Amino acid sequence: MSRFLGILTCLMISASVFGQIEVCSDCQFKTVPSAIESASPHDTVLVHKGIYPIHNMVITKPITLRGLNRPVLDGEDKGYIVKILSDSVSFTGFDIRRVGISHTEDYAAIYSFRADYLEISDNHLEDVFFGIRLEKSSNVVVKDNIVKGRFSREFDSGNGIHLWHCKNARVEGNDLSGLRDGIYFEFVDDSYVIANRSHHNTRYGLHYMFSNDDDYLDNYFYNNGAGVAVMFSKNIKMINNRFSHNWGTSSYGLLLKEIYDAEIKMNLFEKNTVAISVDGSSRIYYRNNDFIQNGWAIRVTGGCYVNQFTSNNFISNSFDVSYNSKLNDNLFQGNFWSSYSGYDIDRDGWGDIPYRPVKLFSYVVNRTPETIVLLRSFFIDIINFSERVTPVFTPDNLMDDQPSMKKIKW
Amino acid sequence: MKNWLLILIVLAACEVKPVEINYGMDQCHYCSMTIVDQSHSAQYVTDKGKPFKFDAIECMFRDLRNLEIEPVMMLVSTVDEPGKLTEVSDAYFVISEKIPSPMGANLTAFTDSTEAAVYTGQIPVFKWQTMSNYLK
Repeated sequence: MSRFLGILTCLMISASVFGQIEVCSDCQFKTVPSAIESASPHDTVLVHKGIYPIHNMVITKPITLRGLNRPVLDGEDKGYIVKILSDSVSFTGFDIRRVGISHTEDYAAIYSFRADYLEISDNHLEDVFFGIRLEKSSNVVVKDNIVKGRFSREFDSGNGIHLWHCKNARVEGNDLSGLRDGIYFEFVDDSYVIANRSHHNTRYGLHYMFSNDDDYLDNYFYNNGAGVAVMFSKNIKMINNRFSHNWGTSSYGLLLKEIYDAEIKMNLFEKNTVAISVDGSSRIYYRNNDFIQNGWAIRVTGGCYVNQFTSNNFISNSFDVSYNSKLNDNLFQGNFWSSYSGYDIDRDGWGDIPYRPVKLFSYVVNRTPETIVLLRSFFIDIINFSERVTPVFTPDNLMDDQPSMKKIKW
Repeated sequence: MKNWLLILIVLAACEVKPVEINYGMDQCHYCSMTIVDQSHSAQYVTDKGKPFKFDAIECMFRDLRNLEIEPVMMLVSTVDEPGKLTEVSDAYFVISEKIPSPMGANLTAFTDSTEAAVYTGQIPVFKWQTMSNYLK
């Protein structure tokens, strides 16, 4: 009881200390900037339903901005809409439209600079150039927003959620479409990207550059120019994501370029031209992933060392693994390969003869992409078979000596 | 007559000229990123007429260091005329945080040297030949 009273008094104190200011067409404050102007730090500004033309609104004090029944902030294509330059700002429940387009300025619907402890949630952004762009801001939460770009192919698309030099960010439950990159992390450390949907973007669903110690989990990436690109980064964990329908000559589900010490677990790659394209990436652990109906499941180019592929399912891919060198320093063990044609006489669940996932034809295709038209021909079957019997071009130690007979469950 | 026509076609095929960049489709030759930025893309063409496309000027610069023969044409997109390729010899370059570039070097080209300095407030504005002094 005393505890309950304690909470009650706390609530009463907070209600009396932090004021509330309302904005609507017949309130005392008719525009959002005027309400923010007269608010004291840590006040709540409640904005009622209506359309408010706003651009370049600067917030320089800690404040809670809340939209009731989705008020619309219309930028009228004039530039930035909201600029947050203070710590501890919460921004919730707005519809934001029409951000300006520029070649030299990266205009965003919500922009922050050196502002920590932000919460940006439950906003619907439409016709944006950049959606939410946070710079040098740490401990930020970006949650349950919907960001739609202009669905144009070229220069007038920016990124949905763009973080630059941030730490401890949490990007969760957002829906991003029609943008350049759905989510872009540049110099962002110790952050999480959880349960977002990123689709129909021109370039990538999610893009990491020079970012370390980040995790992305439970996301769904589909119909993007390419799914996810992780470049020049260390210690990235990629768990339980779904990459699908990234089709096109230069398209892939996941691009790994110059990354180290990553974990790729329990992801589903379905119907991509290339499921994972790996270039110059080492010490990466691939475990319990499903590769289903891709052109290439894994395409390795450049030097990739000490990578481990264990307990993955490779089902109905045109090419399971493709290599461009004779050297192999990577381990394949205990995977299920649907094109494995061996047997299991001792019935221990593992195939008795090793499986060679690299087909000779994949080298030919790497050299001359046009030869792909011969893919299902008898001639190709013969050269693949002869290479399997006596490996000349493919690394002879590149094989799974313990292929699973059954699809692996986890 | 027919032979001449054939020779003409063969010659036309070998012509050294830049090709259009398909933004959102083409991949950078150096970093494999999809090329989307119309104000930072770049391209060089070899003496055999083979074009190589880049998403950022720094990518082309770094790729050229691994190249033994200098390409015949080197072109960059500029911020003041996005989407149009300009010869590197006619362009002016700045490194400024005001205009981030796709691969993090903040390198941008301008067709107009005064505009470069005025816009970014950044001195020096330099030419392609002296790039190696500014970019590692």
